Amino acid sequence: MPLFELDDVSIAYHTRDSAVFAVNRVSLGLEAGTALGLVGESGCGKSTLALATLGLLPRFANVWHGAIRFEGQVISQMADADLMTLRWRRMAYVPQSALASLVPVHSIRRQFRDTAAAHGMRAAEADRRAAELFRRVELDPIVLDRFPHELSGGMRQRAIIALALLFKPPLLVADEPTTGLDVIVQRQIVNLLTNLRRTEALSLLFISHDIGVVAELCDRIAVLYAGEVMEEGPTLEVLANPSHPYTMGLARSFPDVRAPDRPLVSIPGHPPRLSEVSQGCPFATRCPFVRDLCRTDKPRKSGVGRDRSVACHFADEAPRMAEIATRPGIWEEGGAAA
Amino acid sequence: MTSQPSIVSFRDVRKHFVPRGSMFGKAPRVRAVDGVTFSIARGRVLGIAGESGSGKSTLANLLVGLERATSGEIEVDGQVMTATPDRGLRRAVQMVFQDPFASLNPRFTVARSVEEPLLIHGLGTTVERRTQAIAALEKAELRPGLAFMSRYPHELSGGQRQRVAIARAVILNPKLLVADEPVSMLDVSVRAGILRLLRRLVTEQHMAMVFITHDLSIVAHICDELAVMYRGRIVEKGPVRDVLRTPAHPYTQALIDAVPIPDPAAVVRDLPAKLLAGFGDAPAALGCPFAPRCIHAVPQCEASDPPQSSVAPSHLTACIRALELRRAAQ
Repeated sequence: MPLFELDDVSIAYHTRDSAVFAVNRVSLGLEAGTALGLVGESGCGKSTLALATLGLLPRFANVWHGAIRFEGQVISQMADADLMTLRWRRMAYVPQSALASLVPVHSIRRQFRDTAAAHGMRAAEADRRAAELFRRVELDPIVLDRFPHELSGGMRQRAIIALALLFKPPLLVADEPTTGLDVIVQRQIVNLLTNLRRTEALSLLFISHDIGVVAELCDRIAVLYAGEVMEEGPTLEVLANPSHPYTMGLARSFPDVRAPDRPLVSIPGHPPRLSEVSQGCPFATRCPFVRDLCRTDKPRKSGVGRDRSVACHFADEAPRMAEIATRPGIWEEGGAAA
Repeated sequence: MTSQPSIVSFRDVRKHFVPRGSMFGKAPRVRAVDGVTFSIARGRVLGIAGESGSGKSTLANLLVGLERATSGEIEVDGQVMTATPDRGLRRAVQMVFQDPFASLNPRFTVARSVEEPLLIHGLGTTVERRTQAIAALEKAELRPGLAFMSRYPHELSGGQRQRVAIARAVILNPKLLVADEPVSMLDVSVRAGILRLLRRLVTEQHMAMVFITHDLSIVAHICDELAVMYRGRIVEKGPVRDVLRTPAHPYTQALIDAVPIPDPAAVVRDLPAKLLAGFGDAPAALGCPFAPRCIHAVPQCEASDPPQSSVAPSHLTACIRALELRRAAQ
């Protein structure tokens, strides 16, 4: 049984007189001790999924369909009081902006103690654990008595990770934890998460738009587009041989410092607005391989080899498409390559 | 470089800040830019790379006249930058900022944002400004330009907003464009398009561009030359592909090794713990500023400032061990 599972989940945001779906029939699983990366452009539903995992969806949103299971319990229908017992102790959250998620007027130590107190840990124990965790994330325990503004971006992010580990949760949900940090600091955080995965047997739900970071950190990758999973499988296989044109474009739009002469692809246009519901494949409007069928029929998820799935009508033509998709010009011409 | 006259040149430029509350000389001065020399010819792009705190942004501020150099000479389009640059000089240098969500006024229509520089400089009639704004939008590949004029930033995607910001920057036909991390806030899927647009504008409008970034994976796709900054100094400079393929300075090597590779099969090179530890305290006044974080440092490195020396044609580095390390690596 997976540690965490999304079973045919749709998530709706409600407006005064209608609802829009940010996540559409998503099924994904995370085995204990592994890391799953969710990638995709902004507005593809990554953060909504993270919030739903933690039971933190805003009031005007809900899990409309399907179930979110964690350690065998259906958390998408759990009462707030029960969720409280899971958060921090069983699953913790590392947000993108460490500055915005720390209280600016309290010392870091106070934030450890407050979190501990809210979940029934005594201050002395919190202090002991904080010092231990700070050494674990390679911060001097002296820093515990500093205020957030006195820390650099990288130190703050490490302090947040230490705080998230206060109750030794088996699952960490990290939403773009390295975005906005510069490369060397990003490297520190990626190394730290890699080590923690190993030493603390931590499972990771890692949300990022950065395929490079996901490639290093995650065993499995799920490519989201317009709230749907386009492709999912072992990171190594998905990135080496993408089956979905969106993955092909995304992978090719990401520069590789070792290959300065490899042309970069740009995917013109933008993901559909949530209010635009398409009959067919959501990526059809931007796909260079689009055909009539794509506009009328939604592709069903189909297996590729072992342990891998893709939602594309023409996935069996993937090798041919992948070859063509390396040419930047093909993406500019809209449907010219089919 | 080329026989083209340079659009911008820096000659031994320094910008030092005296920390507040240290009037009595307790805290050392912050040498944000510390003896920087370079020039850029028409149609060329110089990349400036380094970590946060390396002085990249101060350099940008000096270029656009937002900061005044402590010493040294900055020349733009044949004119020496003074404390109060005149309007001509201000028009000659325009900037594209990192965050198109913050750099566009949310209450302004696209038309108003793009026409603003013309208004500030008192150029053209209402009709002329409008025509020019439409033309600038189309130059930034927002076509038809007219269709974007009455839109507001919130109606646009990140990439479209950055294109509006670029249209606003080029409407005055500047000689120099300063782009400070212009794609780092954008979705990866649209970055290449913005980079190609900037490159095309530099060529077509005969501008020069300074492209500031911390991400060495994109520099090859936009820059001709790359300068790597560390603590206010240029530690390595050369043709971008030479610098990426055969970095001469240990710091450049570290910046390259730090970039995540979008290939899970790739072997990730570990960075030395000394380097990951960060800037640390200010280094001694003398010697190589990188020495405290450098695994190749020898006592000599801290004895005197390393001079710029060339490791290949037009490829310079400020590391006394560069040639020796290169031979050892071969």
